[in-house]
Amino acid sequence: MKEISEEYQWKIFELLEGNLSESERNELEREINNNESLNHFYQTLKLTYLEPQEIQFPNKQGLLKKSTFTIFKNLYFQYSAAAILLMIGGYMIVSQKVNQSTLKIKQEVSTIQSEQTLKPEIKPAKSELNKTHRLVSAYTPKSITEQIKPLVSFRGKAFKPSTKLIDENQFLNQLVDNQYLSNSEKKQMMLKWLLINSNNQEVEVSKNIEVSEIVTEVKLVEQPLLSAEELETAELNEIWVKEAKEMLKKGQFPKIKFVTSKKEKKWLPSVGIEIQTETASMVNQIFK
Amino acid sequence: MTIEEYNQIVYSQSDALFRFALKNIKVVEDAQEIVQTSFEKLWLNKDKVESTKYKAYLFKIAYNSMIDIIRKQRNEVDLETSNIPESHSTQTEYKGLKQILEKAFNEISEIQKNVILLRDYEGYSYAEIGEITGLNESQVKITIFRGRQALQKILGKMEDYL
Repeated sequence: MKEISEEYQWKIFELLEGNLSESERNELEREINNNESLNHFYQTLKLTYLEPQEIQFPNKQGLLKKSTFTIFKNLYFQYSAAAILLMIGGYMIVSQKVNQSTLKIKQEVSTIQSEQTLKPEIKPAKSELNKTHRLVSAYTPKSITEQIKPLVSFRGKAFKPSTKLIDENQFLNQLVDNQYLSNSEKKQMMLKWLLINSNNQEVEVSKNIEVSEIVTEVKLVEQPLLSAEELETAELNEIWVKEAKEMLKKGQFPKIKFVTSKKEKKWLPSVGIEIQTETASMVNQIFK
Repeated sequence: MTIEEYNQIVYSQSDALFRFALKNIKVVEDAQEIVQTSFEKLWLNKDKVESTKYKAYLFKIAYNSMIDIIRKQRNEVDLETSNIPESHSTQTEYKGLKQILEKAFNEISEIQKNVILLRDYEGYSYAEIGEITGLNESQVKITIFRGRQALQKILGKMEDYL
């Protein structure tokens, strides 16, 4: 087999790289077909072009940056949930102590009773009864609320604690009044999520995006209900959530139902869904 | 760069970056580390890198990390084998073109290997490869040519063993 000149080697390389014009290519291909050495070089040089291989990086998830975005921006739900948990925790501790003190009282009473049986003329000392009474009254529900550690800051802003934070309406109002939720956020919530009309009709949000590809988790978020007289409807329930999840699986977005305040004509979701996606902007994308 | 944009780059480029690193250094753990380091650096410098150059930036970091690792490995091997006489054994069995190519690929220079990988696997243009490797377009083209020439020669020789 003859040695191929550098010039032809370069030409064949250019051919395989796709850098030749049609006429140059045709001419060179003709030469290759008529020359065994050129053809051999062409064939072996062609073998040096690698076929891309399917190799996957095993830890893709580990590289991703994650953020979550909650449809209803339910920070006030979270804080109220925290408050409720604290309350339950406090209540459990208290009930334990109350039980202990009740037991103590019972023991004392039974001791006193037995003493009375033995010595019916002798009455229990007043100071002892007052002591047990003080123990019980120290753990009334009123004092429980006082013991709950209130919210002290929100998004870096100091939050003046209030013993009435447990009141859901008041808590929400405080967040809005103190601008812990910005106007744009409120607007965004209103426009994107709660496309409610004055008749409180269901609004289907239309999109051209495959929701099921983006949504990674759907969780039920319950909004503690407003007082009954303020609500027009409070219908969202577990069934709706199941339906919503099914729709999301199919790549559709579920209808949202709302409750509204009659007096102030405010909207408020009774039950929402918390959607976790790779990024917050993906959620925005869904609801564009 | 937003988190979303970054994650999209992870999805679109991590496999390619891993393949590029693995083909060069052969050790899975090292290749994984290179990918992780590249993405970490991209995130750290997200505001400095132009949005159109994320991909090239990733490959450039991976390329530089690989060169460092390869140099280290080479120094270690040089120290270990400096007193051992070179083996002349040619009793190698080649099973198919893929293996022959793998073998041939290991015999060409690092830079030739890299430019060919970037060209064939990632479909980069000469200019893009230049951006990653620090060569100009002509140098890239010549390096690819020389690399393929070298591979062609090795393949031609290996044909005798087939």
